[in-house]
Amino acid sequence: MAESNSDKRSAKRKSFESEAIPHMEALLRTALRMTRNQGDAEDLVQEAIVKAYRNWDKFEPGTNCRAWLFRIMTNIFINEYRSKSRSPVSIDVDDIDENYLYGQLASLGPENNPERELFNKILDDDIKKTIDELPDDFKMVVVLSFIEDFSYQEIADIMDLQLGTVKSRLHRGRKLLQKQLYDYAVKNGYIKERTR
Amino acid sequence: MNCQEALSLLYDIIDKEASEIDVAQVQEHLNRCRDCAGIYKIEESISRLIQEKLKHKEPTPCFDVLKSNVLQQLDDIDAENC
Ligand SMILES: [Zn+2]
Repeated sequence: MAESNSDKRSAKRKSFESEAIPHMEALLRTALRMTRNQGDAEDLVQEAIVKAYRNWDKFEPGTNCRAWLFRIMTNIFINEYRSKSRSPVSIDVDDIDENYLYGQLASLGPENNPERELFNKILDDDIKKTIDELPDDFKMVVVLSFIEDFSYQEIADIMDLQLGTVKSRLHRGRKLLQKQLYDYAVKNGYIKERTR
Repeated sequence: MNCQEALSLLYDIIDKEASEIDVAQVQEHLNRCRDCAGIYKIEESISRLIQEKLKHKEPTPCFDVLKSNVLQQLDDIDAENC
């Protein structure tokens, strides 16, 4: 039996704990949005960390460890979890007006900051629910960009996508999010629907 | 730069992916075009507010349990390799 005494930990274990483990909370935050489920999210993070540890010798020191970990986790999610998660409420991706929310907000009146008033009423949880309902392809780029602040190029590397695909998915994802948020706000009486 | 060009760079600018030249040219356009300036203003604040809400730190009571489970698994892997 190995002694898990901290003094006797291998150099590998030490470097992994100082470089990779600090990103675990961020991994969990993103995993929660990807899986929409606490149990699956924890399993996903655990699986990703174990896989990362087993492959720690392949990580090049000095490169972006956070992106490397997200790439591992995203791959596991795509290959193992995506198929088993229930499919989200279907949204017609093609049917989005380019300036939907802007048009709606601008029509609410010329007084200042209609968007801030709307967002003050929307709760953190409402936004999370809205994100949860995005189709996976869009949700993943939105989460990696909005929550984790990865650059377009980093997201392309993490998800094995072309830069142009990242940009178009992010664009579409934003528009979907705005439409959903607006509909959600109307449904909950946060704002009145614009008369058409 | 015309309106179409200015709006095509909207998200690159918001996400800080645009080149300095593009940023300067868009700014120059926004200074003289109210419509585009309005769209930029609303889109920027929507993005910022969504980000703020998503990043808002939630208490994660289960995180410590998860972390100790993970470290335990790493112990097991270390043991295999001994
Ligand atoms: Zn314009």
